[in-house]
Amino acid sequence: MGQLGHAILLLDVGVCVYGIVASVYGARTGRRDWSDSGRRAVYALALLSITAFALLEVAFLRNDFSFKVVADTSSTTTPTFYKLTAPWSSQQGSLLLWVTMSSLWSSVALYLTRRRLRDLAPYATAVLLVLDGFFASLACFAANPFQTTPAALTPSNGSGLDPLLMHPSMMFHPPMLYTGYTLMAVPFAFAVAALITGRLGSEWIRETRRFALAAWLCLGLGIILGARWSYTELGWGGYWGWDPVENAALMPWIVSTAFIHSIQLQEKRGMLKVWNVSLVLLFGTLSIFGTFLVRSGVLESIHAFGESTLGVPFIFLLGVMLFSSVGLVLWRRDRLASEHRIDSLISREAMFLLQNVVLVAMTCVIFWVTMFPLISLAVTGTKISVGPPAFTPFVVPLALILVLLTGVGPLIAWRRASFANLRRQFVFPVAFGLLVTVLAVTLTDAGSQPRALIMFGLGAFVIGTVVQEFYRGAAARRAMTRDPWIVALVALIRRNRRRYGGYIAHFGFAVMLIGIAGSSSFQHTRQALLRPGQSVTDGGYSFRYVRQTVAVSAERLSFGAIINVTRGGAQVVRLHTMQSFYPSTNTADGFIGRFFDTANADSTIGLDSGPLRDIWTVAAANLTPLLPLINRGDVLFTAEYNAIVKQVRKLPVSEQSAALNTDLNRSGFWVARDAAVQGIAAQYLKHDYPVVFQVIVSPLVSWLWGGAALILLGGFISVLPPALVARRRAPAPARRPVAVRELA
Amino acid sequence: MDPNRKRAIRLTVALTAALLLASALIYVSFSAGRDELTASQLLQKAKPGGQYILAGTVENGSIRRIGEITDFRVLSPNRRVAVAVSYTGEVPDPFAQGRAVMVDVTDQGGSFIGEVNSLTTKCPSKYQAASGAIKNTAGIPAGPAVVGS
Repeated sequence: MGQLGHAILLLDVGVCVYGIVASVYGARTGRRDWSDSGRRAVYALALLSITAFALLEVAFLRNDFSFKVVADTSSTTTPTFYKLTAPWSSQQGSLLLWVTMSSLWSSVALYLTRRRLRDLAPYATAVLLVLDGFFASLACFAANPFQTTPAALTPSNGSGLDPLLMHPSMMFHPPMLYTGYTLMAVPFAFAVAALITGRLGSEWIRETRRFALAAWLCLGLGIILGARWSYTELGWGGYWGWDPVENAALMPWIVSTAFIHSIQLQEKRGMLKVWNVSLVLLFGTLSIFGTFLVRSGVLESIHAFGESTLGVPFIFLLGVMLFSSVGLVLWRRDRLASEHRIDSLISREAMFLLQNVVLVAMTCVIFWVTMFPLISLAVTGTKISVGPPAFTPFVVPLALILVLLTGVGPLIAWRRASFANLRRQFVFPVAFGLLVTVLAVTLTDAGSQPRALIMFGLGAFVIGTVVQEFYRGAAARRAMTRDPWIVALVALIRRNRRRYGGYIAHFGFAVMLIGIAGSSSFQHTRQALLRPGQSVTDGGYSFRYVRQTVAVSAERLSFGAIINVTRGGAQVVRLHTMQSFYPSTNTADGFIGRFFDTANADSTIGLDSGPLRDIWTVAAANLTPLLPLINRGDVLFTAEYNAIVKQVRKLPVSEQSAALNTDLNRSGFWVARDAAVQGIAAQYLKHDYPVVFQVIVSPLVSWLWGGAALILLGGFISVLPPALVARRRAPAPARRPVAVRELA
Repeated sequence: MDPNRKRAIRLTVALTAALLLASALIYVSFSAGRDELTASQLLQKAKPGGQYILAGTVENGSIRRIGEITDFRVLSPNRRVAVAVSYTGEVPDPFAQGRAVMVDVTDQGGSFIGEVNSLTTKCPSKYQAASGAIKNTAGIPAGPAVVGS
């Protein structure tokens, strides 16, 4: 099966080469049959890659440890759900997943545009196949997921998937990020094609906008899923740690956010053509850059593969993408001239442009600080890391400006806003923002953190603008149709999904940033060493370590702590946190010790989420009192095992293995071992050794998740195909004529 | 005002703002940064009271936990030099011998103290798992699900 998989990968590379040649030849000669053949090569690539990926999944499900990647990242005791996710826990498998997803999305894009953009499609096909071919070549020649070991050396069991990766997010977070990254290749490819052919009207933008939006949506979802996962794990820096690889996903997302806003200026007024095409090329390149950071290990990151040899090919690809992008834009700059100019700085165009500048500036800051260790190494000879504190002084003010513009942009008039327009649109939102600011100062201690306070006020301002827009739109609709409010609101969104989807996303953005400002500025963290019965206070709450717990299952031993949380003497919640130990496959750990290996442990946090605050707790199991028992057990069982082995060695070599297993089972060796492990684990309840607790009280964390969900919901509404809503058009206007302000 | 003049003023303002932002960024980066060092570099460069970022691999058998304090040694890439670090507080779940870590340390006269909450370890999907598979990996039979909770 390994050979078959590798053969398919070789075929992948061949198909890519053929498709590139056919597409370019078809484009240069105008031979549509060749162009079509190139497009079909992408379909074939998708089919082959899906087959290869399915083969790898089957190898995992069958526990085929002759595959090196299966032996390294799975085992017979790995649950089936995680066997399915294990392929992308390795460099090799994740590259194959990339090729599979990229070829799949390329096929979808080329299929949907097969009757349109006929001049551009062949070049876009070639670009997509170059990218797919690059990753297929890496999977084929540099990180082969189908590498096998000879039968004699094949282990009977694998090392297993790391316990930390056995989390439901493993099924969704990496594939969603890959979907976002690979979807970004589609607008990139069509932008390059538009530049090559010189057909730089708004048609290619219209056709690929949906893919840009889908990429933005999936990448955003991937980022949020990762943040949520990180929040529930110990030691991953909370929901955001400004880790280089986190930043690598954030940068293309920010640039694509700029694009899905600025594209409106090109569609409506033929402006910012150079800017828009540059943004597409930039986020396409940044998506590959993000992959480079993960796979090269060039920067120290918790998510970067170490000791990788893939950096050089990636640098080459990035160099080609960057220089060809700049060269193409310069070559076609005459055809990219704007049809209109900004008439006034007090206009929607100016606000959109300013918002884009802020987003790009934010990307530049993140890029600089992320890459600073390498820049400083090149300049000074010393690697200097700046870490999260260097982001805050720049990103926070830019975020504040961005929130302000999020509120102002959609309400201000196109071309030139009048004073009357400003007054009509902004009185309510400004008043609401001020009211929230005053309430925050008077009712909470928000005044002690000016930046957070400003964010609360600006966030409320944005919420005010969105509420006002929905109210006005629904009221106008009700005036026409007399529908109930809820029906009018739903119909409003259906009739103009892009606009109202955008408003929902803006609402979510404001809520999310309020959550981030609150949770980062007013968080209380405390670490304490507690014995059962002892307490610690944090953020106005009292945490009492009630008692220890032990849970034994086939997969793990869990040592936990029950914590009682009170506030002012009143019961708030009872939390259970635990640290679980999964059996190690390292023989050096001993027959008993392998069940208590801290290298194979993960923590389950005790979390109480509320609308206004989260209480987060974790406790590290203190196994010190069990160590003498564990060591004694290892000595006893090793001696017993060696005695059995000594007997078995008297037999012919060919019979030894089977005889050993028979004797071990017959003598009750494993049963006794398991009973000993259970007995030792139960001893944990009988001592009152102190345990290290970490407790965190964070306000408004739920707002972050809620806001992110709203952003994604808004994006989802915007990206829905028109056909889905065309059948549900609103009823015809009522007979009674009414004055309705323009909604579009 | 003449539109061309207007555009020139806007461009100047924008470029000035960009220049100021870039200057501030460069200044903050160099002034707020800490040297990211390997164990051997740290031993050469460290000065009492100095703060550094130590990156390397946790030496096998070097981890000792006493109450809130975790002592361990971080190896340089050539594995010839190791630095002892005393770290207080919770350690991340993936922290274990043989794994890559980064930790902010302060030189306190020859001993290195790790700053609370500064210890980071790689996401476990990003290092090769140890290939030490053993013959029998029978788990504990699913007997009584919970003991004493």
